[in-house]
Amino acid sequence: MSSDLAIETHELRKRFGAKDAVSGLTLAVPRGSICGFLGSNGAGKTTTLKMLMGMTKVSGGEGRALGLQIADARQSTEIRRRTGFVSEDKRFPWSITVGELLRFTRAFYPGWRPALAERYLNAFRLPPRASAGRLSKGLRSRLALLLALARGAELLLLDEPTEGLDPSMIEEALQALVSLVAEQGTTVFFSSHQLANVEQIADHVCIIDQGRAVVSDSLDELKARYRRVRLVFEGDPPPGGFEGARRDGRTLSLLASRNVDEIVARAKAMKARSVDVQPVTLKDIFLECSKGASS
Amino acid sequence: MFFPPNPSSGVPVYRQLIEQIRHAIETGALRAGEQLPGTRKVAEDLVMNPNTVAKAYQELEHQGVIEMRKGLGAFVAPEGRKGGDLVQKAQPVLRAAMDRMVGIGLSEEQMRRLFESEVIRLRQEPRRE
Amino acid sequence: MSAADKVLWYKAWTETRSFFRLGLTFLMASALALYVGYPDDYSKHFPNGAIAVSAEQVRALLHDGKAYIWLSWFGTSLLLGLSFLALALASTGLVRSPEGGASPGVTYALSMPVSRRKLAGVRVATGFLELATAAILPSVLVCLLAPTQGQSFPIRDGMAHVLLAMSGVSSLYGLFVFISTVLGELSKAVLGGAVLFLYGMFTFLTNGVRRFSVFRLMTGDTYFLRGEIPWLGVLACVAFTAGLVYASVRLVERRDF
Repeated sequence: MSSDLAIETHELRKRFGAKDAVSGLTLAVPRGSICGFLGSNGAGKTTTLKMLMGMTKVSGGEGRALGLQIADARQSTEIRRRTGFVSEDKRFPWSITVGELLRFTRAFYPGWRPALAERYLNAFRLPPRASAGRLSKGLRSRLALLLALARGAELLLLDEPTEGLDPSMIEEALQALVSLVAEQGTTVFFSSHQLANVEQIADHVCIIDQGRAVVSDSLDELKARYRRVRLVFEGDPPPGGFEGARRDGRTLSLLASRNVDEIVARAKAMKARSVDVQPVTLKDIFLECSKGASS
Repeated sequence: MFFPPNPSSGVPVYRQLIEQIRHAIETGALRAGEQLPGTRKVAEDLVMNPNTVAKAYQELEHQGVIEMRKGLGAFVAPEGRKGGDLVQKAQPVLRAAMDRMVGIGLSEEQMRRLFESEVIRLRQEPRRE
Repeated sequence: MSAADKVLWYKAWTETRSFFRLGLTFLMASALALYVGYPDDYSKHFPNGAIAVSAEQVRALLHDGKAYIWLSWFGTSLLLGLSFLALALASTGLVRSPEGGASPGVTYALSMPVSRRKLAGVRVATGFLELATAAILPSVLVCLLAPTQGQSFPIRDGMAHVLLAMSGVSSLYGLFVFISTVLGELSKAVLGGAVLFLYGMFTFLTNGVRRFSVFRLMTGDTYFLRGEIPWLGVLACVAFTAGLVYASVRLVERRDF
């Protein structure tokens, strides 16, 4: 497998009891990219991230992070040496202070960046003497992010890194990520429900739905391929004409991926009165691709 | 100098940045020969993806609007050599030549090889201004 | 030792220090209390026997001050104190709850570039060291203070008893660690306590089982009476402990978090 991919999985599976949380996930994340990992709740995002970190065992398929096998214990330890992680559970152990937690974490990472740690302690407004186990949700997220950023990691795996943050702190967090990527070529793979944030900084997107990857592509390309198409007919629209189209009186609207020209041609052949093609946002794409959402 | 692009507009972000830079040059905010802010700085200031900034800069270099100088950064192309115009002028010339080559019966591969060998030849000859 | 290793040990220490301090304080106080409340006539003590010593045996022994010290300390206070400390230390393990729910800090620990074996190993070893400290220090005190009541309990004997006490409590510790790894947080503490209580009552009440009970080993009656260390018993305890600790570590290695 190639080394210019920070993450690659092939038919990755995780079974819990009788159910597959992840059922054949195949994705590829290029090095130095910022990749948004989207999916409804329960689609398998957290499980995937935990498998990449070696916290959850793999049931089937294979995966590599930074070229190393995630299912091998020794290689997995090496992955963790080079990866910064923010988990879904952002609580911290023991009754120790923020400052001490930083010193502890530092001991495990030879590539630790003290200047970055200092900078984000200030930017994220983290009090060094506060007890790490008793922080508010927002502070916890910031602390988790700081610990991940200051590690000098090649790869960041972040599960909802901006959870609980107000907009100005979110901007600080996004800026910190962008800065790290620009400076070090770090790869960022983060899951988030805040699509606007993903759209702002990601250049790559993976969408997972019911345990499978339904999208794994560059954001620019996705947006180039997908279009909103609205067709207005003189009378009733012809039945069964267009897959996935919604009908509203004489109007048919649909989200087309990759075959826009064909649709336009067919619409014209069916004597559509007006054919309107519009670009889409990430939200449109996500909503379209996450049909099997949590109901 | 630039303001953050709108990710949800229909226009790709790198294109928006390209437009902003062109606009900056047209309005004199950036002058010929002046250095542009580095991709890293732009990415940090606008909180956008650095690869996207790099893509915009590359496209502008390709269009001849800016020049990338090794080790130094990106600079606005000197006046009078608006690369964009040059490219626009050259395109119909090349197109006509290629149409004729197709007429002769050359394949795409043959045309490409022919073009590359001509570029090499040019390199070795003194340039006529 | 690398900086990372030092941090691991320190982390294990911070997780267990409250229980350790509590246990050590209690035991040191008990050691003192032994001499502060030293009776003039000790033949009336332990009418129903001690935990691992029958009433008849007690009556036979209790004409001698050294026996009183032995029964009170090694036979009762230390035995109970260490057993409960072992339970407490095992309850704050690496694994707080079974698959599906991680407790705070487990996720943090698991995201570190440290093998689970090492994480769990350091944790278990810290518990052992704390138990040993809590056994040795107050026992030394007991030996040193014996002359204040005109008795003599040589440190050499004391340390032999500590060795036996540690062998015994190690197997309890191993058992509790195993239980806590397999079960969830609340239930394991309760279960462990129940096991301990039942076992103690059982050996206290039934003569036949007493011979093989872990509490008898910890009391060290063969050493006290005849200077013989029951090496077979020690070996059995060590093997039992090693087996359970190994099984616990393997369980942690294979688990999903």
